[in-house]
Order: sequence, then C-alpha cells, then structure tokens
Amino acid sequence: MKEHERKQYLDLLRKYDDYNCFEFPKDFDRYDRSQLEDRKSFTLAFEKLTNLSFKFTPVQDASHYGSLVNKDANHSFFISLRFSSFGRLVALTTRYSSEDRRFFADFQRLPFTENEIANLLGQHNFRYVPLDVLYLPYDGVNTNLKNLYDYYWWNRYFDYI
Amino acid sequence: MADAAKANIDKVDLNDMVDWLGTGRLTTNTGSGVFESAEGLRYATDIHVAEGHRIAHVLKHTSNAGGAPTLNNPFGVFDSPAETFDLIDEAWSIRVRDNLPSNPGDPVAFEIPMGRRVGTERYLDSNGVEQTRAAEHIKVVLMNQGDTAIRTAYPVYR
Repeated sequence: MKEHERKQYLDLLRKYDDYNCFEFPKDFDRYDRSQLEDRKSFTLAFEKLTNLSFKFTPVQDASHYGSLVNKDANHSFFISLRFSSFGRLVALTTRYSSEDRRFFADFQRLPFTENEIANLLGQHNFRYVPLDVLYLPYDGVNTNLKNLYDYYWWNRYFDYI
Repeated sequence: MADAAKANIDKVDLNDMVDWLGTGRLTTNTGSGVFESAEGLRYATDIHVAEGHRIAHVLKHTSNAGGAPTLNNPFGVFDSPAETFDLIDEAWSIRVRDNLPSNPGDPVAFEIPMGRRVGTERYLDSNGVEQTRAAEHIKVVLMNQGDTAIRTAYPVYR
C-alpha cells in the first residue's frame, strides 16, 4: 500500500473517532433503515460475486454491530465481513492467528480481489478498510484507549468492547 | 495506573455490586479488582469499557435500562439478575463438557445452548417497533482466545 493511500485510510478512521463513545457514535440512529437495506442488497451482490451463501450474525457490546460469514466457514478459513457502528466502515478477515493474536485476510485464497470487494462495498454505501491499516496502533482522540499496549484501530471499530 | 483508568474504576463500587448480587459466588482478592467464579471465569477491571469493570459491563444485560435494540442488532436481558453469574458459569461448563467451538470468524465468542429460557432478546421488527423473544442461548465473549477472562456475556435468540 502506498503511503498516500495509508494516510487516506487513517484520515477516514480518525474522521469517525470520538473522545467518549465506545460502542456507538453519539449521533447513532438506532432506526437507520438505509444501512439495513444497504447491507441486504450488498449481501445479495456479494453472494453472486462469490457463489457462496452468507449469514449475518448481529453482535452486542461491540464497536461493530455484526458479521457476515460464509455458511460453510470453518476455523482455519472463513470469509467474514464485520460492519462497524462507526462511519459504515467494513473489514474483511479470512483467518485468525492465535500466535499473532490478530486476524488476516488471505486474498490469494479468495475468488475476488481487494479492489473488487472495496468497490462492491462502495456501491452499497459502505467503506472498506484494509487490515494493514486497522492493525496500526490506535492514535485517535479517545483518551481512555490511547497509548494502550496492543490496542489498534481494529479494536476501536471492529472488536468487542 | 493511568489516571484515565483509575477514573473509570472509581465509577464502579465493587462492594455494592457484590452485595447486590447476593450470591457470594464470585470471590476476589481484596484490592485486585479481579473477581473469579466457581468455574474459574475471571471478571476484571478494564479501561476499555465505559463501566470500568467487566462485572458492571455484564450487569448492563440484567435490566432493560442497560441498552436498547437497533434495526441492525438486538439487546439481550437476563431474566434473573441475581442468577446471572451462575448462569454464565453453567453456560461455560456446558461449553467445556461438550467441547463447543467458538463461532467461525469470531474466535473469542461462544454461543451456548442452555436448553431453556434464560432471558429475553429485545429487537426491532421491520417496522422499527420493539418486540421481544425468548433467549435460550448465552453468548460468552472472552478477552482473548484460550483465556478464561470474560469480556462480556448476554442472552441471545438463535
């Protein structure tokens, strides 16, 4: 990833950061129907792109509100999209390494490129953020989270709180 | 400890919480801030959460006032606040006994079938009207994979 692209993504992450809110942004609309409809239309398009079936599972006590995971997922390989409660941000993971204690996205094993998923999400009003950026240390405005050891932008927007 | 961390912990009166729970089944070493259940699950102070302590974080799910559902995700409430931590222990013992795996794509989260109602899941229907349904699973979320430190737990409908 080029430096200016990394900066653009970081600017995006910082744009939706909040000094006080952990789970939802302060202007969060719990009746936001457009996001629900966009996620459903994206899911149909994503299933067509991958020729796989996906299931959305909502989560609570997290800075993301749910995950879209392929129905035939297993623990060594899955396609999981997490939808953040902040800024319509979305992250993709395919593998978790307990050794590294982090997720990875192995695009060489996927039937689509990183650009394709970013574009498809964009067509449905979501914003894809690469893991390379999300696993940069959190340096936002939430002072409770800043300067914590092992705390990344991933944790800020896509993890349980 | 960072000032911010201490400020959060000060929000929580642990003695009040334990008195209120009334079960006496969570034990702690005075001053450590870590409570341990009979099944070995640990609940600790944590500056990542607004409540400042994982016990308080879980206790959000013992009252309707603890949160609200959205169109995108529900909110689970345990039926019996006083039995909440015993139920989580029971769920964990089922997970261990049956060797239940974590959710694919979510290695710290386990959705454990309890075989009976343990709470209510509040959700918004397609018209945005709040509804409820019986929750017979407990979702347990650990701090880290392979850990016994609790991040959160709540009843879910599956």
